[in-house]
Amino acid sequence: MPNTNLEILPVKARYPWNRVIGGIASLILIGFLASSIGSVDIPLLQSVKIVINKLPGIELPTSWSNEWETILWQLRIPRVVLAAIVGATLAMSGATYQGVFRNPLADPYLIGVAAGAGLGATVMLATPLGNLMSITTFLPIAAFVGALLAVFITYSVAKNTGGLPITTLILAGVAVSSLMAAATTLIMMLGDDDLRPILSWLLGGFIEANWTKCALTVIYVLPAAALIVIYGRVLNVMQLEEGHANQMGVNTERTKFLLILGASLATAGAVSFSGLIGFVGLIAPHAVRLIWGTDYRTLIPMAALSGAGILIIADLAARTIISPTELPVGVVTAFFGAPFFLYLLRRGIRFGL
Amino acid sequence: MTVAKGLALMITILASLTVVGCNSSDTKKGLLDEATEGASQISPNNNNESPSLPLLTTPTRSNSLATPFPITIRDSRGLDIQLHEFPERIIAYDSAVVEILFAIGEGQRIIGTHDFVTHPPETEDIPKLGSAFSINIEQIVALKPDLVFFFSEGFVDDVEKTGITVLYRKSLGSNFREVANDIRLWGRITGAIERAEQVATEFENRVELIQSTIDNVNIGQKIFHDTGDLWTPGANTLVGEVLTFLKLQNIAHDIDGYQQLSPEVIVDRNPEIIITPNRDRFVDQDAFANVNAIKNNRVYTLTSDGLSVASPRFIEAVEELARLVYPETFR
Repeated sequence: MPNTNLEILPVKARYPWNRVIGGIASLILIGFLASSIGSVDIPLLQSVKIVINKLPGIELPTSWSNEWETILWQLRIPRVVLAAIVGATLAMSGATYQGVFRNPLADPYLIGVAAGAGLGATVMLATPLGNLMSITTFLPIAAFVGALLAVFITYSVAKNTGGLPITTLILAGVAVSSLMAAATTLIMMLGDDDLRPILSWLLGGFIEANWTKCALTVIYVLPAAALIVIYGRVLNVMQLEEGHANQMGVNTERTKFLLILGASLATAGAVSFSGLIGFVGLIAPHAVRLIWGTDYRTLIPMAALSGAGILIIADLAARTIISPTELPVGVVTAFFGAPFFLYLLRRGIRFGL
Repeated sequence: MTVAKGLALMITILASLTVVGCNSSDTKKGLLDEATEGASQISPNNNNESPSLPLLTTPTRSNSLATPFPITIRDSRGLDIQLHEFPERIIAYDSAVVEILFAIGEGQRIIGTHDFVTHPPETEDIPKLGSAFSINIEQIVALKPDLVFFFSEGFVDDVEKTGITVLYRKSLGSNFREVANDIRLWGRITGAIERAEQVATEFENRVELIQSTIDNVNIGQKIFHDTGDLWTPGANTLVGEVLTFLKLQNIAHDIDGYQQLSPEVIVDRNPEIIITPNRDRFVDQDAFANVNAIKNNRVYTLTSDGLSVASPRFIEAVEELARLVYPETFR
């Protein structure tokens, strides 16, 4: 075995469960705090009581109004949960793309995957195809097809002999994003139907969140997440020269393909129920790298937990800053994400890989 | 670049929302002053005492053969636009103006309009010259119009530079009764003064009839007016004022213009009536199960889209709303 891998893969290192458990605990705390804040004031103590009362086998004396219970249990908590699932998914996909492409700036939004998913979804929403099939069921599939189309165009354009230069990938991503966005606009303009559903979908957000959507998202995201977790550990090896990875018995092309498939399916699932939300897939993995290093075995789960926390907070901002009305959550993530992206660019894109 | 893309997306979305708004002619706020100012310019002798009098800048009566030229109209920039003859070829980038012209029997003058005009059916054959946000100036020039109307200022200068007469008047802010004066204005512009007066008076009479019918109704029923995806008219909107006029309490009274209301607020403020284009968004949803409007089966969809256009048709939608809200009072 070549020596180079030792610094990335500490042999026999114990898996840092304490980090993961700490992350889960923090996430639950963030979720609780976010659930206690909203357009309608519900005292924190009451929120806690209402949730505890929902646990099986516990009956508390009711000291709250029906409205509060509905707001908390049917609107706010599903919304926080959906934001968490989508945030985790985007961060996990972002980390995966970054690993597969060996490129720290890969993000579902930046490499065109999100725009591709948007195009797929628009085709479903705006064309007669949507009348033939059940939209809720097939929207994620259409988005998935669009996402895959985009990622493979970006990838094949950016790939040159010997690697995948960072700038080329991002530039190809820009071009593919623009192309997909243009096609989306064209379809919207040609269709004479009401544009409002597509527009509000593209804008993104969790205002429509409910338990059914949470469940549907999980159905799409879970298999993708499994794929990424199983093959994700190989990403460590793939950070070496591909030649080395091959020597170590890793079938690079097949693994890459499966990981891209998983990340794109996860992105499509998330995007289908939340619209286009940028930069979470960039911020979360990089924050994790800065704090805990680049080992993909911890990077992927920790990025997912951070992504969940980040999107819960971003959505909290989106729904409270101009209460009683709402901001699109994508605006909030872009406000923090775009400067972060510029910061990464300025740092010379050196850390992380 | 992502910022640029995001921006482009936002602009597209904003533009489209505003296009919907331009149909609705009422997303702009605070325009009441100008609208009123324009109106008083049109009708100096209309002091609520003689609504049947034709409204001319000259003392000429409508049945007189004397021409009122030049016709002078104050636009929303405060400039006086002069017309030296009735415009035969009008391009109107505004749903409301198109509907008004057809209502007063002058629809044949329209030779072009924007992409989103669908009413009345006769407009189907009228060339559509882009949206009010991306106009085709070459086509406008080629059509040789006598008058181009805009409700927003964006392209006014560009078209004026080509030597074409442009009338720019902002959409009505919140006073829907001003629709009657808009009708009179277009009567004056096209010479169809008597017909316009009839249509305007009918509009006003129907407003009065509703007002007197609900005279004894107590103010109070709480209403949520959803225009889709929880976007709702708040203060300073035509629809917001209609709700007040109908003695309803708009649960979105504390927002300005059109905005998306948080579903939490809807549950908390518990409206007794919900108007929405999409019943399924509210009915059979766990979150709204305890809202009075759902419990009492008072979720309605208006059949008319008239509330989105400040035209003579607007009053039909107000009447429909009144019938839904006060089924006992109106039959």
